[in-house]
Amino acid sequence: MSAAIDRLITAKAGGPLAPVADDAAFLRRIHLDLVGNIPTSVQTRTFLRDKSAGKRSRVIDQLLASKTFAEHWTDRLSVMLLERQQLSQVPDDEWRAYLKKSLQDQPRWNVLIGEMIAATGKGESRAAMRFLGKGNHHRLTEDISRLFLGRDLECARCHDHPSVDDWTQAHYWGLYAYLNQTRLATHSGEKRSYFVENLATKKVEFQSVFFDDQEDTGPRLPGGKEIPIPTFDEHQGFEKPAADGLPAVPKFRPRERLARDLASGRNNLFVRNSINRFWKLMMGRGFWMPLDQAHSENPPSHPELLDLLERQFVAHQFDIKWLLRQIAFSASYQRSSRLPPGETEVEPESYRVAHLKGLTPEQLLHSILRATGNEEVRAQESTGEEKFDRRGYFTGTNTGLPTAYADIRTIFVETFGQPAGVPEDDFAPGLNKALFLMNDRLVLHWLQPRKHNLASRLAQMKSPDAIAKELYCAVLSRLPEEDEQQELSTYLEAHPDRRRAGLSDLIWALLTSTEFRLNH
Amino acid sequence: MPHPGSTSCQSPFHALSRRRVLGLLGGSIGFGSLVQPALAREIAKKNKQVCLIWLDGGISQFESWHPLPGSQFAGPFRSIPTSIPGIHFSELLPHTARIAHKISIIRSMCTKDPNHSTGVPRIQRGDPIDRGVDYPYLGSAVAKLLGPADPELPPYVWIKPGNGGFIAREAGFLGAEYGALALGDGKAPIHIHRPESISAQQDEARQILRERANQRFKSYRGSSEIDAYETSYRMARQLMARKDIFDDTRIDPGDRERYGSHPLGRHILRARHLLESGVRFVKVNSYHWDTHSDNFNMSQRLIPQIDQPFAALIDDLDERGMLDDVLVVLMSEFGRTPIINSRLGRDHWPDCWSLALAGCGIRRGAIVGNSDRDGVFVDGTGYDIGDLFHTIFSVLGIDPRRKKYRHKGQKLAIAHDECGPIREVMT
Amino acid sequence: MKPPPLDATAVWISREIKFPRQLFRARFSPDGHTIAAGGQDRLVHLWDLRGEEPLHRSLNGHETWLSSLAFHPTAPRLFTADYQGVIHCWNYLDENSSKPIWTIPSADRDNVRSLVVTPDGRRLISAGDDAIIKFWRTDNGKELTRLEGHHDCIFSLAVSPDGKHLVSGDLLGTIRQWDLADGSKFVRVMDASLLHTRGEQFLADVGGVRSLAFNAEGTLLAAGGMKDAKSNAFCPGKPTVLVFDWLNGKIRSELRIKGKSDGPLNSLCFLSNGTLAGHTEILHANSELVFWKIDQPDPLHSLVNPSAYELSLHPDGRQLLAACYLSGGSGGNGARKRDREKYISNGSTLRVFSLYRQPADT
Repeated sequence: MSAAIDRLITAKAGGPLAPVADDAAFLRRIHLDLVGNIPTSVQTRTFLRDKSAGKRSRVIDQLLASKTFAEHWTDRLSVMLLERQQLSQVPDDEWRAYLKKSLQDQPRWNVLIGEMIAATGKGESRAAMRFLGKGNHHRLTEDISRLFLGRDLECARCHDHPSVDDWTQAHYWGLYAYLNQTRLATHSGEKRSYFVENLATKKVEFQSVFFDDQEDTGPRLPGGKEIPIPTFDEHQGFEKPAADGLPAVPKFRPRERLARDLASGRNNLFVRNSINRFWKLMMGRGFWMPLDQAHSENPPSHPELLDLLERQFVAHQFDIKWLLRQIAFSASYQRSSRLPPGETEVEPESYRVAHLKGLTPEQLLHSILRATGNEEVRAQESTGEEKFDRRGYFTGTNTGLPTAYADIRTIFVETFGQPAGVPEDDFAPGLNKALFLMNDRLVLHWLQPRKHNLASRLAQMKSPDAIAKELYCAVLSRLPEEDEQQELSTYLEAHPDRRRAGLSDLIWALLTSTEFRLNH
Repeated sequence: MPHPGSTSCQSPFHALSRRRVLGLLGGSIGFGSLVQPALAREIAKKNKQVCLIWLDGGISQFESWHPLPGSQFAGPFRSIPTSIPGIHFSELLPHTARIAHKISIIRSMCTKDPNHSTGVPRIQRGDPIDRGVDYPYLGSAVAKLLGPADPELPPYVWIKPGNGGFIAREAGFLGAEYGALALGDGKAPIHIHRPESISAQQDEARQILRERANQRFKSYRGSSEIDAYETSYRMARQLMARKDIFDDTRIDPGDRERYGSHPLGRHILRARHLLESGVRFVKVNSYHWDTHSDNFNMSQRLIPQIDQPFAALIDDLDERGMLDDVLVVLMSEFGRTPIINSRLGRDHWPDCWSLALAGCGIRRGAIVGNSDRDGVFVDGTGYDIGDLFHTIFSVLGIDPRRKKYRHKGQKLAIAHDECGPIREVMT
Repeated sequence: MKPPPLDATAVWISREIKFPRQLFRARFSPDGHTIAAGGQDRLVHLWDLRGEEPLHRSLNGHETWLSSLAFHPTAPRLFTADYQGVIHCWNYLDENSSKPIWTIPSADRDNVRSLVVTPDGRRLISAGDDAIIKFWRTDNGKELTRLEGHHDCIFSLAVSPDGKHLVSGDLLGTIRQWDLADGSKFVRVMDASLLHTRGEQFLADVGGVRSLAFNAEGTLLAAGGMKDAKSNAFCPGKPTVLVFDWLNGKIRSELRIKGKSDGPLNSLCFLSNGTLAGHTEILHANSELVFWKIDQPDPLHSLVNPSAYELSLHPDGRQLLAACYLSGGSGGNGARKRDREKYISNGSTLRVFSLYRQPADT
């Protein structure tokens, strides 16, 4: 499949391609993409020294098999699916544990999404119900169509979509009709909530705000067939009686049907949209953009490739790791982000040059901690005494430093992430984020020599060349150029009486550089 | 010599010299202005500024600008004469009534959206014709169309309760650079202060290292992500260099009393300072004006909170000779229903409502438009948001019929194509 | 034949008077023959109940909405107050009397929110926005004295059944007790601050002691309002009654409702058998008339009813008058198509609830 990716990308490139990225750039990129962190200094040096063939393929497979793959993709999928909203009572750690377990071994995307849509809260996969939040029917209709079908149908609630002819009000309400029997109910004994479905007896009615005629629809996927709502004789519609405060279980359960119909190889909107999303996460740009604008006037940039991926993804049973592996093995993925000689501008959809991607808040935090050698922070638990005053940390009334990793993580998410409910798809630098990296006390604290962190290690080295090598390998995951070594040497010579501060400056400069901030 | 704007220059050294990198801690720091000569000329021409005060939720026009005493749906409060002969406001606006001759009121706003969630962004974007792009909010639009009034200051600052940050979203397709710097509770972002452990010299030295690293990375690469990231640092450093604009010791205690110590009073006073310091566009938000319940008890408490500081602001701008160059807009996303609901409240009413304008290019003491006798519908033709935006751009010296945005090869109108400026309110 | 016994659980609507404008206050006269009501249209409305059909007339004198009204216990006098501090005294029984007997032009800086008359009929007591309780002679409206102490606007007043004490409740949830016999001396504060909310981002205080009622024996004082308000915009909260022990001034029970209403418990009335009646409000939906046995937090009985703003007990103790909301049909956010043809004010329905089992032949 990787060869086919390269063949089809090259065929439509329309110009010279940048060469494949050098080893250092490749290693950093694949680490960030698969496990959400830069490589360690040792890993970088080892990889660069390794002259054996197939080393890139081995790294890809190692990372795919590692535990941190599941941890990182738990972050990515959680943000994709929940958009940092706290919509449900399912605790965060249970939800993450559920995702992590699903992402180990052979994670099957259609199974995962099907579980979330059909979730009742029963059994081992109880945490899957977190996606459903409080069961708000309109929100779910809009999120499901946006995230799984690539269609932002919010405007189609009240009328056919004003600017996209393909999307109609009937599409909106057809999806809604799968969801509108869903509600939360409390188990009287356990005092816990479960998702239940009421008995559906009629179609959903809707009316355009522009026209007077009333329409109706049963459950129907866009482009699919309408499911008739079965009628039953009195009291025959249920397969289990009410018990423990939960209502009787109806025989016809539309949300369960949705999980089956939507998250299926037969639903090509779903398959193509899923590929588009994973493709964008790896390649930096989807086949169509924006991600939630899949319609005929916004066609995919590489239709043949997308068709092929669609068939293969289904044939491999929606195995996420298989898909990521195929992409990672391709030269198109491994392409350098440096422009081919003589080129000043490149069409983004040509993939002639690798796209620059931002680091997510989690990737940024993990990478900063690894780069500066402070990774033990990730194991720090809350002391349990007083809650850390985060608001005070940002307004200046709290002059302490957070010690619990949970607080540190929240600070990074609040600073670098989007507000709850806003998709976090694109790199969004901002004045306040720059101020944070420049002046934040915690970040500067990590640049002070402590234990065996980078600042401390560098302080013990004598040779500027050794310092330069270690600095660049640790922070930028590559060896320094000659002029960079020279510059560092000169800088240290110019500040003999403040060596430690000088070293901190050097680390800081690389940490705040564009090269560190981006996944290139 | 490579073009200064090029992003793929092959030589990393053209901007910075070795000497600067080395000699910093010895000599003095000259962090000079970044103004290019051409820009300075533009600024002298366009010294207009804007202050938008947004009362989120919908201030009741019956309890403020258009009381209609004795009419069927009038509230229980008195109406008082203003300094405009024959014109009355609600008694809840005594300060503004006194200076009414300095402002104008449009009483015939008639807009389409009765919802907050869609109405607020729609209105702040000028409700343009849908072209499949995210139009910028007014502040971002002005930041783009006029540029910064002072190149060292962010062009668009947003004073709001709650959290601050940088709100790139408001810039829409213009790009993050035109987003709003949000000041939570009107306070400077805490990270504007360089930590004590780092001296100014050290900061300069490390910044140069950072910039050199970026120069290298940028060579052989051309991308908006790189530019946006570098711009964010440039803006951050500029703001740090100008943190005097947040210096509270410069505030006259008498001013604090005149504006009021409540949040909206403090925030409007902060806005005045930012305008005096040269920020191009300042937005002040106040929330919880959506009085569906207990509208009358609440209006009694809320409306004085805007009355006092708004009048103080107009007086102060006038006294400082700024009222001819600063446009002030005071509004909500809609008004409130004439009929009173079961919780003694008023619901949303976009069909006939009022807003206040003052300053640059706006007539003094004009009351534009009217309603029917009971304040239910507009008498005659109402004005939509597109008309308001045409008006705003026109008084700022921007011709909304000719000036266009350029986005991905498209030319996009800056205000709704089918609307026009409200001449009656313009000088 | 003995009348059927008092039974709040069997409450039924025995009379209804609909009116096209909104009335916020409605009371029975001491002899039960007259209903007085007022609200949005600035008129004092009177209905004579003695005939087959209620006979209506109105009195013109106020220039703004009526905010409170109270009957003299024995003389044919009705006191009405409005949102701009005016108090009028009317002879409501004389058909030819259409002007006020006397007027207090400025009893408050703004809204006179509550009026009570002492049981001996000599003093009228008013309170409202300026947080000062004022005493007036009922015969000529001259000011007698005033009581200061509250820090924010006063919503409610009540006189103890023995006529010896006055209680006043304000926006901040403070109840103050005054000794009426001893030159109106301040006695103590009772803490109803549960009925007040001011969240961090609120622009205003929400709630307050909206209603006060003594039981017949004078051993209990009920304070009505709402707690846990979520905002100063929709002002949704939990309608709550705090029942104070008069002896020690402490809360002895907290009563709640079962329905969805989210507005304050804005009117309270003890029945002769110790049952407490109250009414609340809600936005765009049906509210409820509620009855409690005050030892149980949950209602004894609720009746679905539109939002209402005042309850008044008939002198026979067996009928409750409620000034209720009546939707005119226009409403909600923004104008509908039909509103452009005809935009109709909301109105009222004055409902009389009979507090006993409905006889079979009604």
